[in-house]
Amino acid sequence: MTVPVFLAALAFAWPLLGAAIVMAAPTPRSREIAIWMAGAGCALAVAVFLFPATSAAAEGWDDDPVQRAGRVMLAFGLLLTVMENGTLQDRLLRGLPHISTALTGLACVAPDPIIGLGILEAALAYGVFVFSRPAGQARAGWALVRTGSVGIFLVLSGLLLPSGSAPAGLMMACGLVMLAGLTPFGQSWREENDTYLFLPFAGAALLLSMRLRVHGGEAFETALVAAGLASVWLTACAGRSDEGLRLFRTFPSALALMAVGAGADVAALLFLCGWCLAGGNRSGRSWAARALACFPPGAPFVGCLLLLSMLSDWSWSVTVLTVAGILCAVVRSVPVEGFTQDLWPEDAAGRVACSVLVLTGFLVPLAMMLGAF
Amino acid sequence: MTLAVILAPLLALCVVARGIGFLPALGVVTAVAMLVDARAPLQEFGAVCVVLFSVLPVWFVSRYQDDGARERTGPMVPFLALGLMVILQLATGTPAAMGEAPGHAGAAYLPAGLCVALAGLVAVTCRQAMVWQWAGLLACVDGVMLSGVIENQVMVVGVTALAGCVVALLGGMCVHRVMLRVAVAPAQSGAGADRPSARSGGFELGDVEPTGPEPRGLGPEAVVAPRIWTEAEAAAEDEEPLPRPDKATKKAVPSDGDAKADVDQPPAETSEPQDKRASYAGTVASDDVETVKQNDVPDASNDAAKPTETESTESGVLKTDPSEDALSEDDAEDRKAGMDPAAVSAAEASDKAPEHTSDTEASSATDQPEPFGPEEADPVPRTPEMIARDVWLRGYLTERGRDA
Repeated sequence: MTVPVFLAALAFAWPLLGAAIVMAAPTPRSREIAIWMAGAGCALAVAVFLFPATSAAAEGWDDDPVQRAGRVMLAFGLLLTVMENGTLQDRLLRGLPHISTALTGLACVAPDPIIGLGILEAALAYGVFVFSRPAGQARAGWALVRTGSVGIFLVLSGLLLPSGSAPAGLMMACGLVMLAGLTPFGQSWREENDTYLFLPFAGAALLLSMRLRVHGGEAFETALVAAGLASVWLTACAGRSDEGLRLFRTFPSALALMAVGAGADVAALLFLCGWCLAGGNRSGRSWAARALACFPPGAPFVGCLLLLSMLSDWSWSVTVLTVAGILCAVVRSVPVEGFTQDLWPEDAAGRVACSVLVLTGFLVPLAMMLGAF
Repeated sequence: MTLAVILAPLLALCVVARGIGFLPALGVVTAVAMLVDARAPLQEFGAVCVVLFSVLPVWFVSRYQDDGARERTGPMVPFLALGLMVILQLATGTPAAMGEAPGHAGAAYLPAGLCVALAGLVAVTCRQAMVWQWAGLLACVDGVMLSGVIENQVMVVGVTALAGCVVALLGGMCVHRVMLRVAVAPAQSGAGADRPSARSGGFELGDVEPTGPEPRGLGPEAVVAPRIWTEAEAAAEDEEPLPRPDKATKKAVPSDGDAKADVDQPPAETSEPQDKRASYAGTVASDDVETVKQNDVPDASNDAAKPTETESTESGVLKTDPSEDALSEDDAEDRKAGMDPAAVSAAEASDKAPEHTSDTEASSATDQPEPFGPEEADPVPRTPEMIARDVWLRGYLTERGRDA
């Protein structure tokens, strides 16, 4: 066994190991241990990205650089989640972000996207089991199961239809939109869920959608762009009400789905970085809101430029609509209070997130120019 | 194409139109449709999974009471499913659409599995009752599994089996937490014996109140439940106060759409004599609360007195206490062992009843309030079982309150 294969295997097993250790550790020390384990997981993911296991590609395991970079983003999302949390009393809840990140990372790398869907379902089941244990949460848990399972069954139905046909593409696109939790279409995610389960889950759905594009055909791409555009415009129309803020939380995943539909995988990767580091319930803070609204410097800004350059090849009218939608959303939906303050956040988690966002925004175009993607 | 393949979408439409009752038939037909073509291990695995996922949940749900149909969706939902099926058939089933696909060249073909899955998706999306949504998801499992078996896709069948396990288990957990068990025995109140409504505790459609699902205005009887709450809390002064669910307050709001479904039960309560309510207040507080909650469900007030056959055959112990029904089997045994001597003797006395029919139970339970009376008068130290029951009850009430 060569070193890269060992690294890749370790990178998948590491969050599970971290979950076991964090759950077994005494409560006062659990947060510190979790941060160390998640940090080591980030280092492992970066190492896997830099030293890919070339022999694994021959055996069907995915070796796309964009997918590897996406798993780096998932690992950083876990680190940020752990850093933001205080010390959690509940052992299962403590280990949940690690386990969901491990399972979703495994889902992204599975040789067949269908297996990835199965692993996603398992991650969803575990997360729902943990979330719905307290009294009064049974229906909320059932809503999560319902939405996620409907998405998975839709994608499976699409995969059973002939490749490239319009019904297959439409079904798969609908299922992926539900799995990615695009706000008007998959509404049952709530604030307290999303950083633990939803962030890696939606990220994995985005990464899987890149691999399903081969089967989906043109209808799939068109449906994804249409769904993303609809979400962007709904965000713009909803304004700053509560519903508008809910929509604004999934702004980067809408843009990422558009990028997947337009074939701009690197742009989707940059939006995924924005989603994992600033999305979900972090969108209320000023630095996260700036990053989500595609303000420079930051990964979503670069992703926005890349997406628009690819979209202009695809269709001019859609490009104009997208630009107008993004501008409207920035003007109308971004929270105003404290938007220009707090350029360098006070807390450590915010600083890490800002650094990673800026670094990704610089490094990914550089790597693109060097031919890494 | 066999008859079973054609029947499966029809039965899926029945699931969309009528509910979970048609799910076992759908599962059996789907399994037959899988097995007629070939008998490879893939087909057999798929057939076994489909039958399991279709029969077991229905059997499980039959042990719980109907939680009152809060269905506000119109009659157009099955037609929506039918329309989607037709569109799918037009898009994929014609020879032109499938001409280039391998294996179907030139032949007209019915995407039966996907039709079933579409019907299930419509049921999940459009229906509001949790059990109905569960049935829809299980119909999805059936359909995707059938389609995967017909297309010979091992991965899809495996993933669908996993998803079916997840849906069945988590749905069963949710059902267990939000619905009440059948087999209610409010026999601790002697007044229940001569009540004409103390009939069998079966789970039958005819037992549902005819005016059940329709939203109705708020009559004077609708404030009965809060009053019983007050009595229960007055009796529970020495105990730790239980959280009062929002449901009771919702009953006082006539304009709330959600409350209307809850409001339609109180006629059953007003039909009960006053002395029964008084005897409620004399028992243990949590039992009171449980009884009130039981009466909130339409079936509970009508078919209260007799445990169902599953319950009585499973436990063999007469359930004199409604909250025991909800406890698990061994909990009930433990609690019986942990009760004070008076209660134990009462339980033993009631155990002597050979048959747990409604008449014998009601007659033997006439003296039930007395053993609990002294327990209430001089508070005994709470046994761990009682504490566990209270904790469970608190969680349960919170569940009901939030879900209302």
